[in-house]
Amino acid sequence: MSDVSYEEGSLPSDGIVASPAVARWFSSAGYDAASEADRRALLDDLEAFCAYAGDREPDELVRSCFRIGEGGTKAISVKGRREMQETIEAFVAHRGLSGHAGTVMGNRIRSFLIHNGVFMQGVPSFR
Amino acid sequence: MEFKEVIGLRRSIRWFKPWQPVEREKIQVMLEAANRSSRSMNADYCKAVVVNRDDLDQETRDALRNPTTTVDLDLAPTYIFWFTDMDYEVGTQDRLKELVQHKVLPPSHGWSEAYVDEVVWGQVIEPMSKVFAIKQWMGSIESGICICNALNAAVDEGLGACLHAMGNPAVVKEVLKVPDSWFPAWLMLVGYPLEDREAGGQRPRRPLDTNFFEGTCETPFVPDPEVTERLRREGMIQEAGPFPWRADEVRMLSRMFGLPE
Repeated sequence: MSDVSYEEGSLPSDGIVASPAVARWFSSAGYDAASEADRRALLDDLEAFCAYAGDREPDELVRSCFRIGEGGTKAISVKGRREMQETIEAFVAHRGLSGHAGTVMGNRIRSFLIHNGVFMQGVPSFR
Repeated sequence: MEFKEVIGLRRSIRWFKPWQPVEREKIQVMLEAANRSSRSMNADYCKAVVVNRDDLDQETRDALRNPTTTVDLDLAPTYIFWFTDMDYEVGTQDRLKELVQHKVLPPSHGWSEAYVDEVVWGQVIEPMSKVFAIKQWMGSIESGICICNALNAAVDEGLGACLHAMGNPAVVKEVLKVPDSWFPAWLMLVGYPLEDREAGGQRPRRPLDTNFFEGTCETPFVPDPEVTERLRREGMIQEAGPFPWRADEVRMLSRMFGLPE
């Protein structure tokens, strides 16, 4: 994420900022053009999720949704993706969020995964 | 709406107004359009079951999800489950003879009731009905024509629709009490478009002469520019997507429902 910069003291961790998966997310979703405050909020949420999911790096989260076959072929891992969906739901509950706010938080994490090639969908909030 | 504009305006709609139900009369129009479709042997290939989203319990709705329909199933107020009845040959012998009696299949073209009984039924349809691959091929094509009529009728009625693979056919079969001979075709999600009805512009298509030929397969069908221009005026050929504001439209819709951006 070469064009993302933060003032010292307000940075999310270096690991998040330097992550190729985060760079891909920001570029693909158009967040590179978002305000610094919005970008920081996105990174803070992702970092909190990484911590909740067992102190895993963002790229590790993406990798866990795939399985690598013989010869390096890459396929979606049904088990990995299901576990990720469950972890996202648990994370939202852990943060005490529900309703529209909960949907937004869960789908923010899903956005990170989606833009890294993990097909998943969240339930829309309208009821 | 004029026919050419219906063809030109049809899009696979993925954003529906979840709060606005579809009037039953509009569904009837779609089904009648399907019922009027071209079909060989005057057979009933295609079957459909109309279900209102809110009449299904959450457990059933969840069971219908597959990786590509999750959001759409929540947003669309009406589901139409389309099937091919693999027993479609039943009754065709009598229906063909009816067409002979009506002079739809006339002697001038070689048709007679005896021909239906002794040749068409005895030597073609009946033996063919025992070959699954042929039967499925024919049933799928004929059902597709039928479903296409319904899709275009939806556009004409101001609705949006999109075809999806039918997730979890076993659940569908149990919940809808589907006969054993019905083979899943498509799940059509129907509702009022929440996105602009042009859905970001007409989808990119390859030029006409890429897919269509004249005389032999070595001679592309070269379109007449004047005809092309007429089709633009009459709405069959429309402005190609993506419109400059499409990304913003999708972003705003996503935010409305809290969906991933």
